[in-house]
Amino acid sequence: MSGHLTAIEVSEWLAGTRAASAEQHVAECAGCTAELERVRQPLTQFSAVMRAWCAAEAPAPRPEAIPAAIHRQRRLAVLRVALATTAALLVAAPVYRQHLRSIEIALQDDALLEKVQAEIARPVPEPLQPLEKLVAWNAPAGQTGSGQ
Amino acid sequence: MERTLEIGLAAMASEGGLADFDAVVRDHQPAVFRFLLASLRERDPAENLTQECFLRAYQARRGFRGEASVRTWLMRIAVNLLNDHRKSARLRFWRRATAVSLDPAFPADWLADPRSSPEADASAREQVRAVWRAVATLSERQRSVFLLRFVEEMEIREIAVAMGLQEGTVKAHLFRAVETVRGRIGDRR
Repeated sequence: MSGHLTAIEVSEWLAGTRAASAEQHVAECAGCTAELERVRQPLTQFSAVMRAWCAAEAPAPRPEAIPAAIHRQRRLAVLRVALATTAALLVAAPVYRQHLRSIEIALQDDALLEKVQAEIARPVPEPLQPLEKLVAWNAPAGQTGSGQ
Repeated sequence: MERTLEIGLAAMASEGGLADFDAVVRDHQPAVFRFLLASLRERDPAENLTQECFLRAYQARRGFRGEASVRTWLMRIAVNLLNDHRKSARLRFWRRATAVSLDPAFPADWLADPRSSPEADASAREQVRAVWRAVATLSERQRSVFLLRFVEEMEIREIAVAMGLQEGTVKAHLFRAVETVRGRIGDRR
């Protein structure tokens, strides 16, 4: 490497890309060493300020809070499941009741239909049945009123 | 110390104990909080994510195989949390609504090493402020890489593991970040 480090080479150096020739040159060149130090200095100061400032802002480490937080998370998860189940039941209960009611109505309808069918199928309407007996009593054996 | 923790964590992973994890929290919480605070610039989310980071680490401790250092492993969790946090519109809403943002003027008064003259001191503070402002203009990935390299002083290889990137990609991001910062602090040759 013949010349001094260019601006890009200085940035590359700081970014961790260092060609062997550049390393050799910097080792021998006080100017480039000083230039690298000059560029690095604000970054070093920035790091120092960050460390001091964040140390002042940082909460005290509380390792004991970790298991407690995990238990809290688990309790919350259980609570969420319970709430979801309750909500599902609250939504499902009226729907299920409605379903039962519709079954009940259908059964009642079936019973009514059967009753109507039975009424229609009768040879003599129910109010005239006593008369039918009378007719059956006067008729010869083996004959009923309905057959005439 | 780091090696001791690695052994401790590996032992803990097999035993499911708690004692060594206490040491992990004590030793690494400041760095995780610092990285998150520097990235987010808001104390409350940084504190919450720090707690979440150790919570996840605790839950995932059995999966830790010691392939990376504890710090790298924790930083990887922190980076993932940071990405999730940024993506989450809900959290973004709460961040705007509830959090008290830190003063965007960086507290350069924390500069612990007074210069030889008031002028040099003022110049140094101004340069630190310029770096702070320049970091804010970086892309999220460049910022994370920059902070991990120059504040957390992690090696390129460690940053690559923590961020799930190739070393070459880390160097490329770092180069662009350094160029931007140098441009902002008016430090070009």
